[in-house]
Amino acid sequence: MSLGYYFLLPVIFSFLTPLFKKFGTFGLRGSSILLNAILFIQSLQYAKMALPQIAQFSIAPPLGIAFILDNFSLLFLLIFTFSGLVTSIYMLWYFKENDAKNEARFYVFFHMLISGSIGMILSCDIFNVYIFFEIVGISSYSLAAYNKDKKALEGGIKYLIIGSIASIFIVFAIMLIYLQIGTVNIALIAQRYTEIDSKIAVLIALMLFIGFGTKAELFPLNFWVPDVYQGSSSHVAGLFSSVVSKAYLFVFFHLFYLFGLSEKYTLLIMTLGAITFLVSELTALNQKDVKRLFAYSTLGQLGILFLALSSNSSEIISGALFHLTSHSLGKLLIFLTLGILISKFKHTNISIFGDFKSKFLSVIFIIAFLSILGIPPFSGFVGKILILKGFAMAGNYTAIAFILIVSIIEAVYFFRLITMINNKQTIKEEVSVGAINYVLLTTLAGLILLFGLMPSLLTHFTDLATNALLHPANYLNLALGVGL
Amino acid sequence: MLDFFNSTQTIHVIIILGSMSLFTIGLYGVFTQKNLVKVLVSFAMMESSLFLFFIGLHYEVGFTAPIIDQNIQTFTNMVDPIPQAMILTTIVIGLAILALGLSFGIEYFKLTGTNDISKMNELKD
Repeated sequence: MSLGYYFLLPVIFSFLTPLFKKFGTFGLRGSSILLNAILFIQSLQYAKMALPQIAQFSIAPPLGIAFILDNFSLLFLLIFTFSGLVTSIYMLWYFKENDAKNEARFYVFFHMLISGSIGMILSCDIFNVYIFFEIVGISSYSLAAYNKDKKALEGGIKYLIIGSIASIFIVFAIMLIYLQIGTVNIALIAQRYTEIDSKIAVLIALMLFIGFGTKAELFPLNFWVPDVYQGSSSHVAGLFSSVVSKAYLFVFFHLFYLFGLSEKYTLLIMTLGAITFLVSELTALNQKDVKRLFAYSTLGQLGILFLALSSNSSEIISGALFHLTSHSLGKLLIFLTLGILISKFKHTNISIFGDFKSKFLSVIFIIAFLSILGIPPFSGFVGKILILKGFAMAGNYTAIAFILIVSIIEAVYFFRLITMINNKQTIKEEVSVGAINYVLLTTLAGLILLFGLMPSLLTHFTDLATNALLHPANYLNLALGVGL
Repeated sequence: MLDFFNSTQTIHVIIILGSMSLFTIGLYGVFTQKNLVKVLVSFAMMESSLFLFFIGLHYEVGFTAPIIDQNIQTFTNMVDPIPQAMILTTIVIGLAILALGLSFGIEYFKLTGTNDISKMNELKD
């Protein structure tokens, strides 16, 4: 399967939604699972192949459009397709238990979201990155609002306004780049970025920062995030947390290292990441709404990722990518499990954790919380310890102390949630989990435990990804069309 | 005097000044207006200013549109077609966002009877 199908297949499925709807409820749900399974299995195939691989359309690069899959994008591709598969299976249960009136609308935008996120990480043309940026944008605004109640629409409108302003800055940056160098190919820009007039280069960096920083949820541009997560359904929030924010994060750091911005701005992004981490965890302490709470927790984790990924050192970046993977799994697990509770109790107050009675869900929640928090033997622990080890090797003890101190703040609210789950005094109700969810949630929790116990399964990929990010010679040659 | 206005450089200066002031007005509107429709109009203004800026800076006096027909068979004295293709794509995307924003606005108005974004405070702690 050519790389182009990663973008084409979901779009085709998205446009064929009315056709699938004719085959009854299983037509839609089954086609979604089929699509996501194809994408995930194909990604596993790519994991065994020699990378980078290229798919070119009609004209060879650097003039034509091309998709390139290198080891760095492979890691994200695996995360996205896996999250897509898990969500599509979860939706089988969700639409059976809940109102399925908006079902078709969900699947249209869900497939577009997957298509756009994958296109964004594969594209090696900055204008195409912008187009996929907008595809992800439009489908996530619609997903945020697809319930069409007051909260959902409010979140959707806020997201749309902020997101479209961010996209204008990206267009501006692309135009300035084109005016200066006359190309939109990422590799050519990377080669000739130093030719840009230094003042304009600062302006371009600022515009790219505003555009991608807003979408990748970096302080001080992340004020919209809690509202959007709170307004949207919990499985959509799971997608935002594990796919959308990670896709924007990918582009942010891909351009950051390719354009050589890391030499000048490392300290700035590290500081902003640290502030994101601290401020979000402090705000998360007194949240009353569960989705809002986990939105702040997501922001906090993204803060660590910004702090670690911008550090320009291969050990720290490898650890950060490990942390990113385990955070994606953990947040997906939390939001999907939360969806089960919310569809039962119909409220999102934090007291929901004291209301339910189910051994299985309690264990799942505790595993997810401890993994995000970084407690052994779960994968979050390995990610955090690798980041800390990297900082120790780089001699940056301020960062270590900072991460450890803020993690204590994080521990406060997570342990409060665990206490609520174990509280025997509240009135508890049985929750029906559903057979599919037993399998699904056990798989996710099992992966978290597996990566925690056998980190080498994942460090293999993260090391390769780090190497591809910091030494992109192969990627650049392919994107320039050398040897095609 | 007319030659002065007919020079590429003067036209570029005028376009830069005009489009950047339009951009500033749009940015100001996005952050100060309370009505959702006005916010979206400001957003459209910001976007249009960028289109003018980019197309304008690629225009040079005496150059024609990059279209080959019976009279024009060579590629001399033609403007760069790539910015125009990119702007065309951006216009379509901008239109889609505008339409989506307005449809959200309509749905929200049906539910609450207001379009004021400062009154959207359902979502908070």
